[in-house]
Amino acid sequence: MACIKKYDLIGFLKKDLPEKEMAGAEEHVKNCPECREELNWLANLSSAVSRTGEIEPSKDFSKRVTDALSEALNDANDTEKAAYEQDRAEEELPLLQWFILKLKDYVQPAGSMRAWALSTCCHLLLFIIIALIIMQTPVKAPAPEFPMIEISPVEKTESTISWEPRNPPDWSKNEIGVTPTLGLAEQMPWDYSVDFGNLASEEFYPLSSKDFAPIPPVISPQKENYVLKVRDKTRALILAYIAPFRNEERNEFLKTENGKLVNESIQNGLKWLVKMQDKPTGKWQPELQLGKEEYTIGITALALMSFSGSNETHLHGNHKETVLKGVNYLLSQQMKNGKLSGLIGPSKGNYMYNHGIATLALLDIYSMTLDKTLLPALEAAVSFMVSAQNESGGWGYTVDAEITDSSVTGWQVMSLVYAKNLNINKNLNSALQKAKKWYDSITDTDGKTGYRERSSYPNGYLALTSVGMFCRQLLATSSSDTEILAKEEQLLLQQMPVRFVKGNERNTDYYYYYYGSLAMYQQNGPAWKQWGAALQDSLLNIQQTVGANAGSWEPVDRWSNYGGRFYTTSMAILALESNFRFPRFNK
Amino acid sequence: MLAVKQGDQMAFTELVNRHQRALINFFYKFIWDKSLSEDYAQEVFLKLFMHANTYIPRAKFTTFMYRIARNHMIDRIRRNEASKNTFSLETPLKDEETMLGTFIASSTPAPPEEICSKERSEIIKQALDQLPEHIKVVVVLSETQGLMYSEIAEVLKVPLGTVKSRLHYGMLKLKAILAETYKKTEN
Repeated sequence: MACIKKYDLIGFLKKDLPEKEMAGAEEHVKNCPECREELNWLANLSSAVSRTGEIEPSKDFSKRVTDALSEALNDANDTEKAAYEQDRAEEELPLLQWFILKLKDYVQPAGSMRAWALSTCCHLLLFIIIALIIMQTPVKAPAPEFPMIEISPVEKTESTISWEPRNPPDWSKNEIGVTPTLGLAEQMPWDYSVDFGNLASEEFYPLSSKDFAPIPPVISPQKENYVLKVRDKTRALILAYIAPFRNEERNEFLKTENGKLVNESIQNGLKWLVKMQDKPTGKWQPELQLGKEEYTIGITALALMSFSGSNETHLHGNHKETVLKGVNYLLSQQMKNGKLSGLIGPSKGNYMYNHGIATLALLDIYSMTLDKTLLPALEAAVSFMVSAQNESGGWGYTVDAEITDSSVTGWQVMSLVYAKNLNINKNLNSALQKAKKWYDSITDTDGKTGYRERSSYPNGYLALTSVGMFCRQLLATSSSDTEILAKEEQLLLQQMPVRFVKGNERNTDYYYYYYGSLAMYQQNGPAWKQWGAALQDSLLNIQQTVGANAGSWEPVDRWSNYGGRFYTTSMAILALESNFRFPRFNK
Repeated sequence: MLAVKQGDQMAFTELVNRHQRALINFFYKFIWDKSLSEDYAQEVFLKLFMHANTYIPRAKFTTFMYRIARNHMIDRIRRNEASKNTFSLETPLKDEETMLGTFIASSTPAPPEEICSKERSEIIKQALDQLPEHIKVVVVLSETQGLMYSEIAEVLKVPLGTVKSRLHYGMLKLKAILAETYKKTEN
């Protein structure tokens, strides 16, 4: 039987072998009765399988398809609009109507109930309906959404800083030249948020979230109306106007040999993303690359962040059009209440991932450009995020999810720290402090971060610990944080990124690589050197170099079933960009 | 396909005529429901038209089509629409080489003439449904849709060696299942 392993009999049968192998197999089969029998068996089986269940298409199939196409083309816009309106209408149903709708779901099984039970139910319901009518209070539906939080009006204060109109930045230089000097134990990073002075008035908040129209705001590349008046040399502007830092750090990195290699890999990845973007809509469609459609918004946002991480925005760089389309797609999906989950799964599914990642992507692009056309959408998105925070301090899959999870929470924390520093919303301290407490509550003394509760890691502790670690770096308040961070650093060093090995998919985790890279970069020193080298070795060696997918990363990690190839490619680029994505808070 | 890419509806009709049989039969091998197979095929043709801009002329059209079809099917199965399916997307695959050896060693080859019996078609349907999805798709693409190793690798975006080992595993597993079925029939 050993020869069956040696010769590819199926390939021989299909005549799908290189010439030399065909000849070798043919010669062998002539002299080996066992293989001849096997070949005979395979030929019969192949023939039987090929003839099994062969059906003729219906005669009108072709016509049906072309009719459906014409209809789809005609109705495409109307359908989208109608679905959008319907979603919105459902959100604002008066309680009574909503109740009646829900009632229908329960009336169905009533046929099998006993008469007395049915009668009791009907009387009870009638009583409730009458009570509601008597109350005559216009009540909004309790679900699926929640009351909108008003953004507090920004107080007008006299600024002591003189603001001068400036020319567009020279992207080759560090404009601000401020080296952050704050220590983790000394001050929260959000304490050095930007004071926008007089700009923090109506000019900066042109719309309140109440006025925010459901019509998607569309930004145009012609309008270069970004605010470039931010110049406050007395404050560290990191995590606010990040462009100067990122530009300088990237330029420095690109001067090194490793930097050149990494940049080439990133640029190839970005080119693949450009090519694969759905040009009419601006989104990236995970379902076309083995992912799930419900994550379209999150996946599009991850792709956009991989552009903005390399100084590619809708206003600068080589891929302005791609980023612009992507940004407009995200904006077009925002609901009136600020939720960036739009038409896909508006009231179900794991939409806080979509919302958190999309908000972060828009904040990152805003931080790179200070394009104030993004502000209304960001204000509303941040308000929604704050409203979705659980009492515990973290976030769950949906706005009303009671279970908090450390992975979903990571995206929201990053967004809120950004929003705080960018003055998108001035009342975020409490939300961030609650989040910090929550991370403290689920982190073991040895640094391991739990998933939904302390000491519980159903899919391993590494990825969660890397999320917890980076959030701790963002939220650090005391020297005890520094101690835990050192322990977490050791945990991550024990399992550094590895080269992908077939059959070992569970050990490849781009989510871990991304958060781990952000966190280890902050730790600096030998830890980052080791991690960075392992990351580079792991990712650069498995990037696709030929074919239609050249530039991408194979969807082979443990979460690829959800995000597909766009996910793996974006996360790999994001991890590589950690070399210059954020400044070191503890520099 | 290049004409379709430019939005030419006539070219689209031609494309549907040319590939409808293959596409419908591809789906049919997984869900064994003609009407549903035609619905899926129709949805894939519409997707092909809408996403013609992602088609790269260097790739063979059929591989592009099957790639979209397979993704579509997985999506539908995940939504539980194709409830008749008996296979699981999460079926873990043991080390294929080991399994290969086990099957070679343990299966008694059923006589070829038995496969050609009256119930052949039904028995093979059931045997196919016992394969994990990622194995079955290789068997179907190879044996019923006539794709070569390299084309299947392109459709599934897996290395050529993986296609070969999955196809060998699939055929030997089919053989083992059929042998078992015939053994039961004899008893």
